Amino acid sequence: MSFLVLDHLRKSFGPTRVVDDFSLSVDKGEFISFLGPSGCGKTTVLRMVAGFEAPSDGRILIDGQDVTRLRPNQRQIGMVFQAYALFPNLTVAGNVGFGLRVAGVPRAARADRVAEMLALIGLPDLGGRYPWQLSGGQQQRVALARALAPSPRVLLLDEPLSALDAKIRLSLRNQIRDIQQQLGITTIFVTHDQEEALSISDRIVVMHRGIADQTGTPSDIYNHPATGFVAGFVGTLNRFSAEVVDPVAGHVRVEGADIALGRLLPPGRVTLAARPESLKVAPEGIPARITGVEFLGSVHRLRARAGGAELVLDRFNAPGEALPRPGDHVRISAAPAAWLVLPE
Amino acid sequence: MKQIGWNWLGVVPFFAFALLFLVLPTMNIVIGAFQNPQGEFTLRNLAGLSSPRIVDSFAISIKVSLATAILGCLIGFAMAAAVVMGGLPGWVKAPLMTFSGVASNFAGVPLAFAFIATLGRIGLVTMLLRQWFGINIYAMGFNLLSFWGLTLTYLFFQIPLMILIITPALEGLKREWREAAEVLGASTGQYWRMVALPILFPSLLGTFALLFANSFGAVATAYALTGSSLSIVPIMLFAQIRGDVLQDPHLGYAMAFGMIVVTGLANLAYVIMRSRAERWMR
Repeated sequence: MSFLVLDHLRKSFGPTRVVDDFSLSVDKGEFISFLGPSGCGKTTVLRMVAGFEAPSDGRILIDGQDVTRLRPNQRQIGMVFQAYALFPNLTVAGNVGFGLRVAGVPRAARADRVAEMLALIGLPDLGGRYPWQLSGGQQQRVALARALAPSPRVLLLDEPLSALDAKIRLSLRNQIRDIQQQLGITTIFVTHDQEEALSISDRIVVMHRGIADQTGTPSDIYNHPATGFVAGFVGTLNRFSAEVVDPVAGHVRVEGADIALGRLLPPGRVTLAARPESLKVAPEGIPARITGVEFLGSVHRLRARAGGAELVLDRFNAPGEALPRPGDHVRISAAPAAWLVLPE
Repeated sequence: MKQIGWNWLGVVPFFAFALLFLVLPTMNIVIGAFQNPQGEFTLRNLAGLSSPRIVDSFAISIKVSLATAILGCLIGFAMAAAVVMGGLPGWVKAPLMTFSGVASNFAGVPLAFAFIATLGRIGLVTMLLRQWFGINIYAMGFNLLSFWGLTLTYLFFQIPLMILIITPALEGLKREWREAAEVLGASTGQYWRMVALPILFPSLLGTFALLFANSFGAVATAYALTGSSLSIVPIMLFAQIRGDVLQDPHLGYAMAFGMIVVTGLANLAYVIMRSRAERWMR
């Protein structure tokens, strides 16, 4: 049985429905990311799990216990907020030990646990400092230690990396994942950053307009998007308007070029899509004109125009390899399996 | 060499005003408290402060100031908290803050008259209570010209002052602090005791000190309300300035010096407590 179950959750604020029929089952120790644009309802679902918002309908179960009507302080949940939310009047040790203190844990046991948590986040010597004396990254690590100290059943992370600079964000996200795996704690991570979600999640829930558009592993989400929204939101996507010429054999025509996909297709028109790294310059394919070449270190990014479509192609940086130049007329193709077929 | 900027010219009026109407009069009072009418040094004026009547006046003044500061803080805090974090509709805040701005400056003779007209022996509210509900507040021991009458009257400007000052501080409490405390298992009481009140404590202390000083130095309201029936220090001092009671200006200086000392001690206590309460601030 799943450890955390969100069962047909709905939430409306006045006449506006922000979460609609949201269901999810999470296994114990699983790391799930809610990914979506601002206003898609991901934070609202998280706040319902925490108990800060009451669902208009549906149930929330943790380890078989229905917590839907329990107050946040009765749910045994840990939460890390975007803006750290450390208590400014307490030291780092005071913050980390707060949950234990309100639970009535004796001072000595509390001190041991605080030391253990500070060691876990790599800040063993900063217990006596106040939050303002820490950097943003350190504050967020302390917030993580504070959330973990009472041994919660579920850890909720509400865009915890958004307020940090890029370098700290990268190291902290790895640290969060390491700690999560080390403790085996069931975790929900809310983010609008697809790279974050893809890099650290066991599964991702892509949310759009209050519903879960697709739930799957990072690889599934990226390589086999279920909807046009998921395909467009996760990663960069090149889209072509295509005419299906043989639905059974799986042949389409784009800008006069015939492409064999080798799978059943719906009749009529479809959108053919491919990731930048899937597209390549080939002897046969869709005619295009190179409009720009950017060097991004590990890859060269080619920009091209095919008919009315602006395209992006990524090629691994291979020193000495000849690259097309802006203005060159080329043909673009991809392996049949790399093409995504989306409804027009 | 660093040049003196023209910007300093803008604050010259402030410093001139402070020098002429605060520093010099205060020095005059302090020096006068240690002089006899002939200008010779003496401690007789300070010794005169120990007379029972003056000691009583200081005691009443301090009691009234403490009572109005404590009640003003408690009631004002409750009202501000109800508006900022209670379930009151949003439109309540604007009129309350506007009214507080007006009421916190409504003192002196108009305020005294307003209270006499409403809660005096034949005041409107007194009469309405008697005629509509059969409640005679004066028969129950209430007297506007008493300690509690003066305290009630002072609260009219003390509570709004508290509301004006503490509302921004309450609005500065982040929602995430409450939510973080809650999700960590804290009850509402634990959140207030361990997080919110310690954060607010410097603001509360400051406001308490301000309310105390506000009440301790108030004279016009008390004089217009009670005349000389309630001998608080400012009234004794006022009588001395008028020269129709004590006829000893240097004893008056000593009383004013005593007020400066009381206010100074209150502020010293405030500074010490605030510095302890603000250890966590940068």
